[in-house]
Amino acid sequence: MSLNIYGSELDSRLLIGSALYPSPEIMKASVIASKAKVVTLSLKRQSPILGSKQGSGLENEQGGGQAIWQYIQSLASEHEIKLLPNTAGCKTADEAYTLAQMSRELFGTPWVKLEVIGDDYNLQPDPIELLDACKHLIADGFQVLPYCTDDLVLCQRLYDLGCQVIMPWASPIGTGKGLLNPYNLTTIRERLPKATLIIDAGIGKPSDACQALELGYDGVLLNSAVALASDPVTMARAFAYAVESGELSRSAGLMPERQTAQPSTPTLDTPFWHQTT
Amino acid sequence: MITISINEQTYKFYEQITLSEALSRYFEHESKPTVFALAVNQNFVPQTQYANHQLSSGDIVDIFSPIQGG
Repeated sequence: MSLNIYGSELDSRLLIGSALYPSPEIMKASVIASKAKVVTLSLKRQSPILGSKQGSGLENEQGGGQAIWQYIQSLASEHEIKLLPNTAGCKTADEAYTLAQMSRELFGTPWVKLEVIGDDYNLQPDPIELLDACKHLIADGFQVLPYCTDDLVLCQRLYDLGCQVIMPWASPIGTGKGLLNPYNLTTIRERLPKATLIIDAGIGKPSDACQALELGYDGVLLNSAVALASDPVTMARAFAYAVESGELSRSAGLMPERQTAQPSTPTLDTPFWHQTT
Repeated sequence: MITISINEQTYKFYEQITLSEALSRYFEHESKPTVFALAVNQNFVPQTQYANHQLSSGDIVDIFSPIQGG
């Protein structure tokens, strides 16, 4: 169970987000239960109203963000979990580059989960801006993990630019629709055998994560599927098992799929069997 | 007099001011995050340059701090 991200060997193939949990305590317990060794987080501009000093009656969200940051820090130090900052909310290469620079200073990591959104309706990445951002970030020493669509040519371009890790979506962020196009994902896997491929976005069920590993993907990154479960901690455990199961089944060698039925019980000399010729 | 925007709030200063000095004024009124990074006119400015970075009238300062993310 080893996932290689830019030379770092991680003993889990699951990467997990820190958003949308009912409380910071449940977030922390869920991350631990998932056995993930990478947690994603983000940066947000301090709101002038919500960031007002305590006692003004206006503080709230910003304080919640600070609390989450403290929980994430404790996760990182106590459980050897690495931080993966994202560029959520960016729509241009310039915005993403600036946010990535700030993340590197704050979190002390060259890793960046690069998100450059091109469509607000389905949060689909903008491939043009994504490639442009990648080019600048790699030139500046970043180790980029781009979130992209399941487009073979785009993934190939990202790999050619120097992205050792590529993260195509399974389906749009937060939909939980699972792997909408296994054919595309399989093709990317076959054509980029040396890339570290991680499914990012759209995972809804543990079986989706298992399927991604069975297709040969190196890992899965998810958030909503755990955070929005009725019992996030138990769901996190389910995903830990699913990822391990998917990797085991992949390494064990799946049987070939067939178009016609084949009896598993030998028919010769079974009761009431009569040779017809 | 120069006018600076910090997180969408307008501040007026009677003389030239550094980024460091502007932040001190800002955090007299707003909660200071335990950690933060910032951009001036959407360009990243490293912490090591706060004391030397002279602001100009019309500059826009955005302060960012960590939040949960997916």
